[in-house]
Amino acid sequence: MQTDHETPEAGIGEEQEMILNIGPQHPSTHGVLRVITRVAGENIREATCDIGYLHRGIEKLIENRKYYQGMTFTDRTDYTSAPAGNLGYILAVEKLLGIEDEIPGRTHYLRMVVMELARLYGHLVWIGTHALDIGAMSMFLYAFREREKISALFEEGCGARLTTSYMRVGGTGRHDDPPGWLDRIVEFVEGFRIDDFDTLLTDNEIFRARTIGVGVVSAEDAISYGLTGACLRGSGVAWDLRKARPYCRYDEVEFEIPVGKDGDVYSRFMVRLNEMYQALGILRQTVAKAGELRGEPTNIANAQVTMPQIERVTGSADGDQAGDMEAMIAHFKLVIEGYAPPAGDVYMATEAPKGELGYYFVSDGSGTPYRCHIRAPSFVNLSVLQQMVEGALLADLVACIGSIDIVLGEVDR
Amino acid sequence: MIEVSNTPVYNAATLQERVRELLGRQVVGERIYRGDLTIEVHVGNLPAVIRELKEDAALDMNMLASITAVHWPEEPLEYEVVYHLRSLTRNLFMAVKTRVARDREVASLIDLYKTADWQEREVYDLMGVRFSRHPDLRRILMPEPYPWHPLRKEFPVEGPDFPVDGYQTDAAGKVSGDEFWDGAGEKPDAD
Repeated sequence: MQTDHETPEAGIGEEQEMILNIGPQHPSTHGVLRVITRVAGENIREATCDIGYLHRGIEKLIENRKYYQGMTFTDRTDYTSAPAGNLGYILAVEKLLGIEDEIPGRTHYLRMVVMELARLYGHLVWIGTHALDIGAMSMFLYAFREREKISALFEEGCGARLTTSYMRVGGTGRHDDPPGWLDRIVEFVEGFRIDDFDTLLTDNEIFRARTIGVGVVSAEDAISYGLTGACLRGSGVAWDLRKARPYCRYDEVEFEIPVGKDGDVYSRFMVRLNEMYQALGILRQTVAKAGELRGEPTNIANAQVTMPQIERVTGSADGDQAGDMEAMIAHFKLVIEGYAPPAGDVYMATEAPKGELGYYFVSDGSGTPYRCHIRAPSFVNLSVLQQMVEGALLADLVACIGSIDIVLGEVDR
Repeated sequence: MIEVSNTPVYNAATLQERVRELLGRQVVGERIYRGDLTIEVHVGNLPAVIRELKEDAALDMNMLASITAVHWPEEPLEYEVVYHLRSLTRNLFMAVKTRVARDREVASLIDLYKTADWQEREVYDLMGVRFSRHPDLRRILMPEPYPWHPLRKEFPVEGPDFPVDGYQTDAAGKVSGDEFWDGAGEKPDAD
């Protein structure tokens, strides 16, 4: 680095470059992202991302565990919307096992309910922190007020608030949803005050001044960089895997794909905001469908994949009913040996809140994945940042980082 | 304005036919598994094949979704590099594989897809596959002086015992904690 502060030649008004380090410990980097910028005054000449501070080797860990054990790591990739990671993982394993057609309809709808709650959950973190970075403090409080309600719903549905591990290969984690849970989700959806976000930011003069025309990515660049999710749709490309390659029962619910046109920070903001409206609409439909199908099983009957109900293994809690030997053996074999998909490889892509979440599995026919690659949307989307902020003002950097919507647990894995 | 398609133009079988027609004998292996087409090509043909798939109007593979590698230590061509291609306009998904020996390089796709920059760096960092003509093939997730490629199969999941640069480790490879003791108060026992 060159600093010419001492030399008399570089006087006032002349351009001096300096290296400015941002992060990894800085609130506006949304975790442990480090950006090394070369700035001339307020203008960014060059930005380089330094990532890996949260690298835990999740792919390696999954490759050394049974398929059912690997699922818990997916909570810790995108921890702002853990069920989205769960869904990507279990759909990939189900595709590898070839059992995706056996999954009951009710399971699909319950998964979609949790998935769309996760989308809201992730977008609420994004809208809160993104607005906070730009200076709208109250948004954060409103967003986390609503988010708290989703945390409570997750806790009721699966026992955990953040790291849900809600889904299982072959079904959901529970053999039925708790009584009244779906009603409380409807209550939440009807009481969700999305207008608070819309009215506070969409026409806000300061917010618009900070976001319109900032961090523009063209559609061609977006595709070349492999951007997905709101980063791609903000640039005017209406690609959504829920429509393009529907999984679960997304082909049976009605929703629209919000698309921006300018590819700037504001477009991406509008896309995500409208996605929240769409998620509420999907929730209304899926909760109704899951309620209609009440009584259907939530797990497939295949004892080689599905864990037996806990009461059948241990006996009933009051001691009246002894445990069932068959169930105990099935449980033991499943825990010790797991299930072994036939040798082969699959890639399964799902539309997570951040973009395309892909799981690539290679099976060698054993109970442990030979190779597991996580195609993390945050990682790929972040790669455009270096180009996005070139020539921008330093203050726009935080707006750009916020608009990509990264979570470092997923970038670094 | 790029118009995307929500209905696939080809199914796996017709896509396979179209790819065969386009690439001819450059395809050395192909498989449709669980509804997805995967083709295998020689490592020397890789950039030409991907360019043809991208520039062909009927296929238009305009997005490179993912690059990854699989390590098969017993085989002479140790690395299997897997590219997942995508056409947004024609709604097509396919994978291209290539095998490469440990001491050989794979041509970088950075001039075809900008996403290849970071994704190839990740494959190099974690797996050790080298990409020729990549302008900036540095480690991306692991720290720069890190000596290993941790996703290789011989790398133990707990990590090897080694003195991390600047940290003292005991025989079991644990960091002793001396580095974090600031000298004030009683020195904590090293477990």
